[in-house]
Amino acid sequence: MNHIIKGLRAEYLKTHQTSIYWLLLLCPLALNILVVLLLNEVGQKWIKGETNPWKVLYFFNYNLLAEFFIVLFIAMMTSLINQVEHKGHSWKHLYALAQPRWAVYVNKSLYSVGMLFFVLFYFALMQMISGLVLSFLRPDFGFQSRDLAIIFNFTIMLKMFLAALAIWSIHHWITFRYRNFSLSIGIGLLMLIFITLTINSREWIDYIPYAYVKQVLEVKREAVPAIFTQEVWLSLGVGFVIWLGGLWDARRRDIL
Amino acid sequence: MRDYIIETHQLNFSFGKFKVLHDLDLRVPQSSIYGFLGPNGAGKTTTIRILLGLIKSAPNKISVFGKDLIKHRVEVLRQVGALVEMPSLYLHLSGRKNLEITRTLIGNISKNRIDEVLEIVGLTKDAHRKVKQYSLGMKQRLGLALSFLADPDLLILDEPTNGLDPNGIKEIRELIISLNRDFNKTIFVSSHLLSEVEKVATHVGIIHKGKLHFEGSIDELRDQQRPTTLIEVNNSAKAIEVLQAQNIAAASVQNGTLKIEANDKPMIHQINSSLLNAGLEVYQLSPQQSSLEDLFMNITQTAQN
Repeated sequence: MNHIIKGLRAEYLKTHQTSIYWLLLLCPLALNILVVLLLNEVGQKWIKGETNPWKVLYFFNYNLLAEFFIVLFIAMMTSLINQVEHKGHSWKHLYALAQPRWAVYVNKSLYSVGMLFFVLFYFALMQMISGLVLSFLRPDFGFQSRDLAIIFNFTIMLKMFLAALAIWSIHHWITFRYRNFSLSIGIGLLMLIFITLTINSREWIDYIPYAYVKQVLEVKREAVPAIFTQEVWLSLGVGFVIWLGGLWDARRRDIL
Repeated sequence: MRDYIIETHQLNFSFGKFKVLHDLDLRVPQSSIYGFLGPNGAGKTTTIRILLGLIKSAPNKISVFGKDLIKHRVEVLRQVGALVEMPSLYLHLSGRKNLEITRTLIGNISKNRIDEVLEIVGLTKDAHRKVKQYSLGMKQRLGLALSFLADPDLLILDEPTNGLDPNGIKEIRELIISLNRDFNKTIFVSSHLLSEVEKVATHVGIIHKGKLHFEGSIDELRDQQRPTTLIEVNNSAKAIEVLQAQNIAAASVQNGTLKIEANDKPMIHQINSSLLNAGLEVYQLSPQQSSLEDLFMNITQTAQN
């Protein structure tokens, strides 16, 4: 436990005020601004009648996230976190310190997964601010008079986080292992194209970890969705197995 | 007091089919500066990486502080500081922040210790600057500071003067001597330059193609120096035949100049007479005191042959 606390603090010191932080802060912000602008212009197409505008806003944001951004974001975030060590030739330093070999991988993992959770939580909060902004820009949408659907928002966010863990475990391992910054992003892009082309072939969807986040949004808007659905369990299972593979590799690897 | 801080027993290592280390038996005495010498590709860095547990080896082959490295890795590394090739530094952070990260990871080190090590390596004034603005020598000194931040008893330094200018080399050399003399650290330092090692080391191990060819104190190495004589003649091939007839072997032949391992006067007189009697023209007979560099070259070249 002691190794983990020390390791997390060290990770924070390494990445504090670096491009990782800007990425974490600016990506959710940019996505929210994009959605605000879009709904401000053509929101009336979706927000009409009894439709709760907050849920429309959430769906817009999470759809964009699931369709494009989350894969690229994870690919970039894991790359940046592990690049700190690759660029500094620091693996040999970390592995030569008096700490168990597993601690190097576990510390990086916890920090990285914590970042992912933080950014999704921040993204969920930002959406509520976006709704408030829209309530001023377009009072006709009725944001001010409808239920904020906070539980709905954070449930989707939590499901998104859990369903993204399989993708995260793949990219975390790749970027931990290989110095090449573009490898993780390249794989992310390829997989995005692949799932865009194959998303309709339902028989394969359970075998593609990159498709789990998309399935999160296949819920009815009326009710709060259950958290532990099939795609979440699959992501947790696949993610854990891949993470164990990464841990095994990190423990046995020779630092050359 | 323990005799040896590091001991390896018949240590072997291969990269696939390529054998890098052959039955390596190292013994590094406590409180020594042990110069681990060898040409590039001799197996120095591989040995160091094995000693630090960066490359896995078989159990019971390496003992550090009397403990098996594989079984007691964390315990052993608690007393070891290392600088392997280029220092591991986060370039976007200041020198102080780099030390702070290592302090956090190791734990149980007071904050004041950072100021102490910065003072020792002479980086106090530059501690706040980002490491990417440091010169190579400053980075190397910061790397050294990281290695002894936890006040370890053993420092393992892999070519710490690589890429430095003469001034930087001198600074690192003085730092190594000071750490050994003033702080009683045992220092295992690798290099491919004997001239550098002989200025700091108390003990030397010479490795070539993965085999240890010499191990002992620097005085024992000097004892192996043999006096030589350079002989310049008009026909070196014939001169070799004449000398061989008298059971005198030429150590080397270069540009028609023979080098033989002897410089006592009766022997030189005898050689001169025989060469002249054989009709050769002798232009020069010059007694030499061979340098440690020659000895090193001799050891590594003999091994090659």
